[in-house]
Amino acid sequence: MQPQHQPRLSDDERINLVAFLDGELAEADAIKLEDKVARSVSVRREIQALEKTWNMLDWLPRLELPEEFASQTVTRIHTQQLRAEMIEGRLKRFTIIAGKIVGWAACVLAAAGVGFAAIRLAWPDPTRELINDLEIVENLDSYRAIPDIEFLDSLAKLGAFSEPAAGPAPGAAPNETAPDENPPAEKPPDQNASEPKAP
Amino acid sequence: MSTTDTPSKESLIVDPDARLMVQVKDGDESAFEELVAKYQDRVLTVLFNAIGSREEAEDLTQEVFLRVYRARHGYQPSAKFSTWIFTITNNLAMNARRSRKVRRTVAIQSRDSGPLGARPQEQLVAEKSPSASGQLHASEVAEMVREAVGKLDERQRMAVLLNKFEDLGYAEIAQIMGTTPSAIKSLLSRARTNLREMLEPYLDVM
Repeated sequence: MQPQHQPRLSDDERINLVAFLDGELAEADAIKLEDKVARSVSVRREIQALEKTWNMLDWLPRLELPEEFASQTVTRIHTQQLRAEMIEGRLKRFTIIAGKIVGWAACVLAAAGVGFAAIRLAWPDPTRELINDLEIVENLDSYRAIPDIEFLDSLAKLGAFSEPAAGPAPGAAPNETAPDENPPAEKPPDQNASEPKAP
Repeated sequence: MSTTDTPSKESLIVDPDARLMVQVKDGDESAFEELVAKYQDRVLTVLFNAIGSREEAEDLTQEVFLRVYRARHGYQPSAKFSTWIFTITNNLAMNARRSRKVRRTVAIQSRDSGPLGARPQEQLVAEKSPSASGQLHASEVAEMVREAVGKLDERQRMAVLLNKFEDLGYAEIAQIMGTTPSAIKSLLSRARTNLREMLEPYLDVM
C-alpha cells in the first residue's frame, strides 16, 4: 500500500489554525485549511492537541466575590463623593474668606489713599511752601534793607531791573559781576538808609 | 404598531448592560449595583488570572467599578458595555503589572532555549510527576495550568483570558486591547501554541 501524501502547513496556515478552531477564519481560508486537515494526520493531531490544551484552561480558577461587594462598592463611592464634596466645601469657604480678606484689604488701602490725598489737599505741605519761597527767604535781608517803594521806583528809573543783554543802565555803577549775582537793589546808594524800616 | 410612536433613546440600545449604564448615567444607583453584581466575578476572574494575586485583583475590581461610576457622565452606548468595562480592566491590569515589575509566579530559570526557556514542559513534568495512580490531582492540574498561563507574555495572557472566560471574538478583543483583529489572531495563535507546548505532556496523564 502506497503511503498517503501528508501536506504540511505553511507558517500562515499554522497561524490560521487557531483562528480556524475559533471560527474566526474567512470562509475561503477555512475551506483550504479543512482540505489539508482532512488529508493530514499530523495536522489533525495538532488540532487535537490545541483543542485539548484549550480545554485544560477550564481548570483556571473562576473566583467569586461576596454578594455584599456591590453594596460595598456603592458605599465606597458615596464615601469618596462625600470626601470630595467636603474638600470642595472647604475650598469654597477658604475662597470666600480669602476673597473677603482681599476685599477688606483693598477697601482699607483705598480709604488710606483717599485720606492721604484729602489731607494733602486740605493741608498744604509747609516744607513745599518753604521751597517755593526759598528765593525770597534767601534774599530776605536784602529786601528788608529797602526803605520804601519810591526807592524801588527810582532804581527802576535808573534801569537797575533791566535785562543784562540791554547793557548797563546809564549812570549805573560799573560792576564786574553779573547783575543776577549781585543785584543793584542789594547796594542802596543811600548809606544812611542802612537802617531798615519795617515793610 | 403605531408609526407615531417614537422609541426612547434607551429602548434603541440593544445591549441590556449598556441600557443599565445609561440608567446609571441618569442617576439610577440601583442600576449601578445591578451592573456591579453582574460583572464583579467576571472582572475579578480575569484580573486574578492576569496578575496572580487575589487581594490585588479584588482591589482592582473595585477600582474598575469606581472608574465606571466616575466616567458615567461621559458614557456613550456606542459599543457593548462589556467591551468598555474590559478595556478598563485591561488597562488596570497592565498598569498593575507594570508598577510591580511583573512578578512571575514561577521564575524561568534558564533562557538559552527560546522565549519559553529550557523546555518548560519538561521542567513541569519533572516538577510535578503524576501520582502513584498515574493520575494528577485536580489541584495539581489547576496549578500547572495556572503556571503555564502565567508564563505567557502579558498581552498573550490577556487575549487568552478574554477569549476563554468572556468568549469574546477577535474584533472585540482587539478593541479592548487597542489593536487590530489580525494582530489578535497572531497573538492568540502564538499563545495557544505556547500553551500546547507547555501542557502537552499532561494531556495523556489526565
